[in-house]
This record gives sequence, C-alpha cells and structure tokens, in this order.
Amino acid sequence: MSIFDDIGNIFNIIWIIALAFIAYWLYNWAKETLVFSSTLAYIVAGILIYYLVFEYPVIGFLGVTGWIIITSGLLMGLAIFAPVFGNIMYKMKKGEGQ
Amino acid sequence: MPVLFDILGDIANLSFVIKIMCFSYLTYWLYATFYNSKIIFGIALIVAGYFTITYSDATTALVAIFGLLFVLGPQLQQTIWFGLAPLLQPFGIDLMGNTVNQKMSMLEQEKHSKELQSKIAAGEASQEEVEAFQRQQQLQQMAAMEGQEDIGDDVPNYDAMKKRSMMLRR
Repeated sequence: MSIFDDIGNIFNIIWIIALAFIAYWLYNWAKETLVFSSTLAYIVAGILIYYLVFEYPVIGFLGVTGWIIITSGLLMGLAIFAPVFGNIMYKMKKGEGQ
Repeated sequence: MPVLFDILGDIANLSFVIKIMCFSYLTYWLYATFYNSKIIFGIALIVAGYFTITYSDATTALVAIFGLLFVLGPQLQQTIWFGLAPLLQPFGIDLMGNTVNQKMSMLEQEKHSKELQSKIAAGEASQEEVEAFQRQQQLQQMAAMEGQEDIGDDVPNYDAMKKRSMMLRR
C-alpha cells in the first residue's frame, strides 16, 4: 500500500524542514549572543547544531519549540479555554445537585 | 551485544552542550557589562571559562536560576497569572490561597437561596434564616437600583430616553 509510504515520505520531509528551522534558530541564537566575535559564533553554532540536530534531534526539537512556546507568550492564550472548563465543572455540579 | 542506549554518554554530551550555552550567556553578559573596557572583559571571560569548566554544576545552576528569574521573571509571572491562574480557577484552585469554600460561588448561592425559600414556604425556617434571606433580598434590590441610578447619572437625558422607549413599546 503506497499510501503509507507516501505518509512516511511526507513526515520525513516535514521533519527535515523542522530540523533545518531548529538549526537556523540555534545559529541565530549563537550570532545574537556572541555579537563581538563571528568566529566564536560560528564555532558555538556548529557545536550546538551538531549535538542538537544531528546527534539528539528529538531533544533539540523539543527544547527549541518548548523555549519558543514559553518565551513567545502563547501560554497566556490558554486562559481563553478557562470558561470551557468552568462550564464543564458547572454542568457537572448542576448534575450532582439534581 | 552492542549497547542500544548509551545513557551516561548521552548525558555527558548534553551536559557539554549545556556548559557551552552557559558560557555563551556569560560572555554575552560580560560583553554588555564591560563594553567600554575590553581588557577587563578578557580577564572576566577567562575567569568565567575557568568556573564553567571546573565548577560546572554550580555555575550552570546559577546561570540558569539567574536567567530564569531575572531575565524571564516578568514573562513567567505574566504567564502564570494570566495563563495558569484562570485555568485553575474552575477546579477550585486559587493561586492566592483563598479556597473556594470560604466564599460561596454563584451556583451555591442560588442553591442556598432556593433551599431557604422552600424552607420559609414550608414554615420550617428559623427566625435567623428568615432575617438573613430578607437581608439578601434587600441587598439584591439595592444593587439593582444602584445600577440604574449610575446609568442615569452618566448618560444625559436617560429619563427622557426611557420614557420615549416605554411610550414606543405601548
């Protein structure tokens, strides 16, 4: 069944694109942190990309995406779903009362 | 049999990565601090490197704590107050430490007042409960009246508008 092969190929492509973004993010971080020396920035970027993209890509992916989620303020948007839980708890309590 | 998971080796590699990131952060802070004097920056950088290599556990822990609390502190506070606290509120967890049982929620107030009403109708309520119920009703009426008065003060010609809308309804 070639559909499963196609899904595997698509996931592979998406994973490679994600790792490329992770590598670019790490290079950018090194460049911004080590502003005074471009050589040192390249060395540090190389070390980070080697260990976090080639050796341990899952840790690199989780770490970078987790960092982006925490520092971007996206977690403040979780409060949008607070009334949903409030409604569920309210209906549960009403059900118990009846 | 080849080793499938070299856990200690992985931890050693990742600790090396963490040391590199810690040293990079330290150089960034030292560069910002000693921007005007490159000599002091160089000396401080050597000292920071020595500390990062020899006392790596304490140095990385201090840098992480400093980074989390001082650099990201306001961000963390906003995320907890505006993201986590509203999510925990429906489950009765108040981050300020006030338990929900101390103040009756709207639902429990409704239940309580309905129970009181049925008790008074059946004639089983004590005098204190009747007085409490009457006080509650008075407070609700006063609150409703207050709301109307406020609108009247803020909006000009509110009484005239209300009269016109009542006439149109008829």
